[in-house]
Amino acid sequence: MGELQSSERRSALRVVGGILLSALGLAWAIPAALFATSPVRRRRGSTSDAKQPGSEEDRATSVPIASLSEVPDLDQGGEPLRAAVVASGLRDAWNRLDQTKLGSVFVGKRAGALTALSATCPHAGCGIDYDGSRRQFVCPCHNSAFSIDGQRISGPAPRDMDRLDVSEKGGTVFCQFQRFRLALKNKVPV
Amino acid sequence: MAAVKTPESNSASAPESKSASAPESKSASAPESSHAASGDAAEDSDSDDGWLQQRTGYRALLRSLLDHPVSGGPRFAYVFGSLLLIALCNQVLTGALLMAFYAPSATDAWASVAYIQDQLWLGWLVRGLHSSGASLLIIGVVLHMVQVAIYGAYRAPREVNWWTGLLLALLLFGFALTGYLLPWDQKGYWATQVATTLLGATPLIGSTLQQLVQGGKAYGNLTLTHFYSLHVFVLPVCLLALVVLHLALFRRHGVTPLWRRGADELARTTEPFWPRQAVYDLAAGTLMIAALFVSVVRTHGVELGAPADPSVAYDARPEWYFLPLFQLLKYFPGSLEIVAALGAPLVFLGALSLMPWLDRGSATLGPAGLSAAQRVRSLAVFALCLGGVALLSGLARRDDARNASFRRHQADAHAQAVRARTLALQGVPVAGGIAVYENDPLEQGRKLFAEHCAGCHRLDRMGPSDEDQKGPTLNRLFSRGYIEAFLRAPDSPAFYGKSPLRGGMKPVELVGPELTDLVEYVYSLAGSKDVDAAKVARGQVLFEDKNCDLCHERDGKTGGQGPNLLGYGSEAWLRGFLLAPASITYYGDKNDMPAFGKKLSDGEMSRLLMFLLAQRAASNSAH
Repeated sequence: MGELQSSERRSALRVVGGILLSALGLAWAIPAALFATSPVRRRRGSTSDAKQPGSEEDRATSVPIASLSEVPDLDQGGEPLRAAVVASGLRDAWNRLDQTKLGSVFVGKRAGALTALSATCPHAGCGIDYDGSRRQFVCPCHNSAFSIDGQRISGPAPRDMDRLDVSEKGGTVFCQFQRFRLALKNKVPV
Repeated sequence: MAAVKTPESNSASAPESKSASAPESKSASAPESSHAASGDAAEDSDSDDGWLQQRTGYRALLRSLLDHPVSGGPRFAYVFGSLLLIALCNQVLTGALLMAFYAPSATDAWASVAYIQDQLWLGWLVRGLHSSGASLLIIGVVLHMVQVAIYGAYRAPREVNWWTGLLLALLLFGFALTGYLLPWDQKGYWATQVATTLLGATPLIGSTLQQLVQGGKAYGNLTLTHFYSLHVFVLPVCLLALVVLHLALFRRHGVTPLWRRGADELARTTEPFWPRQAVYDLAAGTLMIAALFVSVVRTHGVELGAPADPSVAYDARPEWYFLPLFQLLKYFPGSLEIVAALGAPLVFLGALSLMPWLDRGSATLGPAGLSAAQRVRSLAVFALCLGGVALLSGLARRDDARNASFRRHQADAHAQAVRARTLALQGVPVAGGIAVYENDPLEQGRKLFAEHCAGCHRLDRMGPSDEDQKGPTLNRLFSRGYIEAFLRAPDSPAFYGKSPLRGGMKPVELVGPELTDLVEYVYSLAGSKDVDAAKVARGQVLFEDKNCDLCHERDGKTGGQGPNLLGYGSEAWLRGFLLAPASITYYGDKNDMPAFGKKLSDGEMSRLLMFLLAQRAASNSAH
């Protein structure tokens, strides 16, 4: 009888021990999970940030990339111009950045209109080069090749090069720089 | 070796007793299986040879950990070691989380900690748990030592365990010292300077040691990377090694029951660690962690000071557990300081480590032990050590409590910290740390002044040399003092003496209260609220009597020999002036200043105006 009682008590103690251990674990695990994942959620105070130039919302606005006179005419045999996209006023976690390079684009004139292609390969994100002798874009990583208009010719790339919106104002070419998800058939903004 | 044998013999007997009790406790199968979940999958078959067990033999390990015998049965007095382990888990976990967001560089450290504290979800909680967790460990160490001292567990054959414990405590202080600097705020920066300077005063190797630790002759990036590497890698590895050793020794010797309990009674009442002692430990641990959470939530974590600024003095105070040493330094002047800084801790540790030999009969008596009364010498040394520490700590607190200027400086430092952290919400410029003040519109206004105005105007330390100065000096612009000085000598070099406006206005020849009245009236034109109405009324009469109004209109429309004074000194007046200084309501064709306002964006204009108008406010508050 005493044996039974003590064994029941031991079982009860085991349960209590398990509960206490779980309580301790949860007390740490819940805040830890919220803390560690907070950068993937929206930053607190982002509503006030949005009013400032260069905030997340402002990222999709156009940035100047070249002057119109230096943009080559591809129909005349010109080579696409690789232009760096530099944005200002961006945030990187705790930093406010004045001038930041976001990436580069190939600009050119085609049938009189401006075109801009993101230099990021839609396959795995490598930087695409222009091969003047073949008049093709070539990705140096996995050998995807694209026509001068960005159409996929060969290689593992799942889609054409990503076309970006460009405009011209007062002799300056502006580009609306965007990143797209990689390795997908369709162009989906990040 | 003995430690390995015990669990094996236990593992042979434990399953038997379990299977024997299993048929009887069918009703209790629910709690049983809930326990099994923590064991692992194979448990439900009731077979001892689950897949994992066959391949890893993990149950033997589990039993060796859980079934360790507690001589004389579980006691709440034995919880302190486990409490320290639980508090250590808190440090490891919160430390790992902080590591994922912290940047150990002189430019980024403060900004990243401010980001953790104020912008990440529960960042203040995680940082608070880590910082207060350090205090908790120190408190836990003291309690653990007190229990060990009372029960006599420092004595033979546990001397080595006692020493590893002392070393562990020493390591904790190493963690505290290195961790205090990492936020790179004023508090950590200045307090740690004291510590490294003392290190530098070590005989012979001091300056080399100091430079090695701080990565050069002065604080900078390398100081942080060095402290960081010590704090998150070197010290933790040492700590882990010592903890393993400390626990292995503990398992070899077991707990130390109170001396008055006989060997028979102890043997009869001995129980395995799991579940009763474990539940005691966990219950106390849960209480402790709950208290930690409550205290962190109540204070919203630990304060982050303003970013480290070598040019701004700070009343450096270490964390509370360093206060005794801090206080001790006050009593050792000049070159003797090193005696206190290195000597006192050595004496302290030396005295504690010799405790096992201080009592009569220590060597001859076995584990049966001496009563507390028979250990009066060692306990007296222990009490003296703790008492000395407590006394010094109390004295340090009393000194600070009586020190009004210290409290005032603390309040200033707090206000500065709040300002810096509010500005950091906009993002810290890449120059980092104190560059956060550039986010202040006033600071930006100052920069605009330096860029656009300081070619001709002086203000504070900005401005041209004597021969290049063309416009008025703008210190205390629009304040009563500025207006008075101008009225008395408009052609002084500080006003129009060096501009084409020279000779355009005669000095005002009033003195005494009349001058004060006129100044008050001109000052009031800006619409200021802090004016003496009687003086203003008398000043207005004087303005007309002395024919000021012949040159200066006050309707905001009409031009005259001098500027129209409607709203003189107000934001609107100054804005209009900066946009069109040559307009007829300002200096007309005598104007010599370019219309800088047109070069500035709206935002820049308002920041420059804020900066210029703040000159008046700044000098008013100084009145």
